[in-house]
Amino acid sequence: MKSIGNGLNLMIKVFLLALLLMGTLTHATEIKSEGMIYTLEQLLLAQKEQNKRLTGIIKSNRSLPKTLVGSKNVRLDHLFMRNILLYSDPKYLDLIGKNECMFYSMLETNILRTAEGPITNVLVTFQNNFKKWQTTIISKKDFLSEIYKNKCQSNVEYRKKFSRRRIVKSVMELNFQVPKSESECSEILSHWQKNPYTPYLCNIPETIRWGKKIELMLKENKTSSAQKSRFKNIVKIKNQLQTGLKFSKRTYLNNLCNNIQSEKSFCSLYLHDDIWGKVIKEDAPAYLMKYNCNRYYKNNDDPLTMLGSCRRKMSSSPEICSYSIDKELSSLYPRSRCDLGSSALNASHLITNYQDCPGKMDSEAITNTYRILRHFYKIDDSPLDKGCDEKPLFSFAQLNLDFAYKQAWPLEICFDDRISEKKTCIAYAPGKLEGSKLSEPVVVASILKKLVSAPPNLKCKLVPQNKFSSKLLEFKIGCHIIFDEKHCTSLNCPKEIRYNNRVVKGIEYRGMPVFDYFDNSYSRGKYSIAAILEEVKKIKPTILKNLTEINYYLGLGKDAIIHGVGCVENILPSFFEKRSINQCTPMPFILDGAIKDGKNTMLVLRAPIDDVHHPRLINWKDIFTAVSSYRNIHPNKQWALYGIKK
Amino acid sequence: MALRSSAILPLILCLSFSAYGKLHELATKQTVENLRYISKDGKVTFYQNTSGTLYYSTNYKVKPILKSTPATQYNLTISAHKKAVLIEKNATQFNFLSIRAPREIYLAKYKKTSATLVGHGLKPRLHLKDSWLSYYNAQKRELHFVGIKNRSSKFTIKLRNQVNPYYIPYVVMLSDNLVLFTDINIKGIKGIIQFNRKSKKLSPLVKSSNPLEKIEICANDQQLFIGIFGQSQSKVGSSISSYKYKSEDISKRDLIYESSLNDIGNMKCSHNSKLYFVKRREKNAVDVAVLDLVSKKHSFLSDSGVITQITEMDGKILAESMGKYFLVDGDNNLGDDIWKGDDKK
Repeated sequence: MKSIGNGLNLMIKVFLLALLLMGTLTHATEIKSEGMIYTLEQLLLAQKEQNKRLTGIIKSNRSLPKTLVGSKNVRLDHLFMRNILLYSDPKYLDLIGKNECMFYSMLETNILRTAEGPITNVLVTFQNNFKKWQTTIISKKDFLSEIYKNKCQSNVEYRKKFSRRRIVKSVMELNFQVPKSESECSEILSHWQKNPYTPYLCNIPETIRWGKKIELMLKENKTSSAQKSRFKNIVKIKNQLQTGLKFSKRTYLNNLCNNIQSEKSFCSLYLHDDIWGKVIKEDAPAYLMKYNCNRYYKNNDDPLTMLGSCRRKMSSSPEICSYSIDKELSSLYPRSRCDLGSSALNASHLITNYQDCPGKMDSEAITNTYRILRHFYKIDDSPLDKGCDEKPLFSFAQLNLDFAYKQAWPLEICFDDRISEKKTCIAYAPGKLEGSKLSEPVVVASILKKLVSAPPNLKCKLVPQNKFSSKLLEFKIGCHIIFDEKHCTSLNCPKEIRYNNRVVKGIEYRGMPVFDYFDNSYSRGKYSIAAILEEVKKIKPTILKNLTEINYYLGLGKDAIIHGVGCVENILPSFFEKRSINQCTPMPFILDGAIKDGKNTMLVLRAPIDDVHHPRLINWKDIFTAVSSYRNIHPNKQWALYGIKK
Repeated sequence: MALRSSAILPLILCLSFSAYGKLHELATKQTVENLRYISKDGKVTFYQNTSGTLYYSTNYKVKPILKSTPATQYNLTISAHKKAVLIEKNATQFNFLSIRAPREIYLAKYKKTSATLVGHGLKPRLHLKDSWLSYYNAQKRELHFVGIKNRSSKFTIKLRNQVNPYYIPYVVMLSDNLVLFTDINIKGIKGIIQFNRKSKKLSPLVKSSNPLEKIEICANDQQLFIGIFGQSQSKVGSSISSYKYKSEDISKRDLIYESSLNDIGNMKCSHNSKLYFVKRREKNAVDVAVLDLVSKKHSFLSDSGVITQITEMDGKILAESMGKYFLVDGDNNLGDDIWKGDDKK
């Protein structure tokens, strides 16, 4: 298929070439009778010859450009044109035929390219004073100045309008109409195809793309010193465009310019009712899509600009959401399919403007509680850049400590305090979180100050065992908390504390975060997570016993969600098997939407073992069975399904 | 003592016809929720109470097997050979919600009341006529095997899976030396791996064609069944194949079932001529089905559309739905209520 596509592109190029040769840009007298259709070999051979010829001209005829001045018959050389047609992005070639001025603005904005990339010099043919045709090379700038003296003067105005100084303002002033129907979409695209601004606008996504490549090259030191300052300037322009233009404008331009030749592709972004289309139209928050697309565009520092192509990817192969693998963000696998995930997200309420990593957490209750907290409260994400497991743990610990309930957060580091002559314990949360007094390195440092009289400015570092060596200078001084990454989970991770390259004895890690999710009168009911959420965060619960109540509750508003506990084997039976009577592995969960599917009602499930951005649609009857089975084995016969809202 | 203990067995006899078509609700003398095992003849019962004690009951005699803190939960694994009882004990079932946290695994002899701790993990299984046991440590991704007669016979297999942290492998032992287990490779493809204890070699036996399929293994004394079931909503389909085996020789594959729909699976295969599994009826409807191993024909045994789990218990096949257990195969044999006197030792 690909080779057929390439063949067609070639045909289009050759056809357009023929058109140009016959049009205003041609100089038919110079064309040898090569026929309309060339073989690829012939074209490539011609290309090689042209390159040789160009090199020769550049070397021998540097003074010739001056003779161009005033000449009315200046045209692009036909072999140079062929080079452009062969190496420019095929999607833009349709625009060439629209009108001559469009061609010049495309040349000006670097939308058209040759084998060497962006065009800086052009090969032209002109009639000299003796009425003889001559070929030479001149700068693109000089060539266009000559052309604009006689025609396409409006291009000079457009150039100013989209100059570096004015581009952001000009684009922001334009109306990018989002189509509502097929006919409207067809009209809109047709309008853009004829619009003289289009080359200047399409230069924006091209510059951003090009700027990113260059940025990477600069980072990797793959540029020559001569290129550096020019490249740095391009990166600056890229940054200016990225920060100055709104996300919706950039997305619109991406879609327009990527699909300028295809009505079907251009319109598909706007005329489908999936959640991805809504995100692109800004009818739904960007985070619904951003984290999904991050998986597919890992090297892209601005995935938002890729949303259009990401959406096409997810629409054309919906399985991609199920099987794409990200070990760092491990969760239950395979995930939900893209189209079903989209349906679920369309009906969902939960705010998920973050990425957590369930597979790294030992307790599903902590993940679930964190998601509830994030739904109702804004939590600063900035320290989360380096990991996704610490934040849920720290948020959870803080929630318990805010309730002044030390027992609910029993993780502590203990030592024999010489001053008080007592065993002293300090609450901590595993891992490092900037600015938190629960942070493990902070707690260990404070203990070392008392235990071994370490200096007051001591800072401890968490170091994976495979990176630690007592022989290395960097580990000979200071405090290091060594752990074995391979055998660590979020709550179970033996550590060795070293101070000035000696193992510190007398420090003991204690506790497991054992707590009830819902009230259990047999134990310490009032300290359950549900009770703490109600007491500390004022999140009010309402017991829900049937589907009518669930539908009613979810209709109460965007902040209304449901949480519960049920047997995982009943919720996700194709992943977890029951092998004996009354077997039940309790799992908390969130339900944040409902969809009618024939006779069944499907609920939007956020299982704490699933990626938060990949909800599943689960039959209400399975949820009912899961909660019923949990109730059956529960000591108090607890029905664990509650609506919560502030 | 024995007579008094009978008072704790409420006589609930409810042979009610349910809304589950042909299925009867499970009838027991014990409260169903407390029940952990009942023998085919109804004479041996294992049950637990909310105070955290697991009991063994027979002939009006009740003895505790394990005691723990209130709300401790127990799951039992007892094979058709009834030589050993594997007990999975979870003392933090309701206050440390963790699918992967290892539970204590105990071993007891059938009809005996002392149990010993054999390891920490999940999903214990009995193999080779109760001569071996295995369990899985999800945190370390290790399968542990322990000889029941000779506890010093131990070995461990480390899984390669790095894709699904919640994956629990299926495992069968075909001989003392040959183990089959399921695993997931780096691309998310599931497979069955053979482990030869003598040579310590691992070799692939079966591989799924794409990451959206799951593989189940189930074995009785003569046959091995491999089920491949589509695990996502994409049209992947389902198939079950059988293999005869004798020690380490496995026969050629015999495809005994195929469907274009993604069944749930959860195969149960202790019966020699039938295999039970959860089959998809339509998009949002699943029921328990039986596959005749001779004729290779299958049929649905329920019509509620909501049965997703089936369990095996000494010849009984139970289906679970809406918090109730239904009898799919086997009898509601409650035994008689005549005291036979104390067992003679």
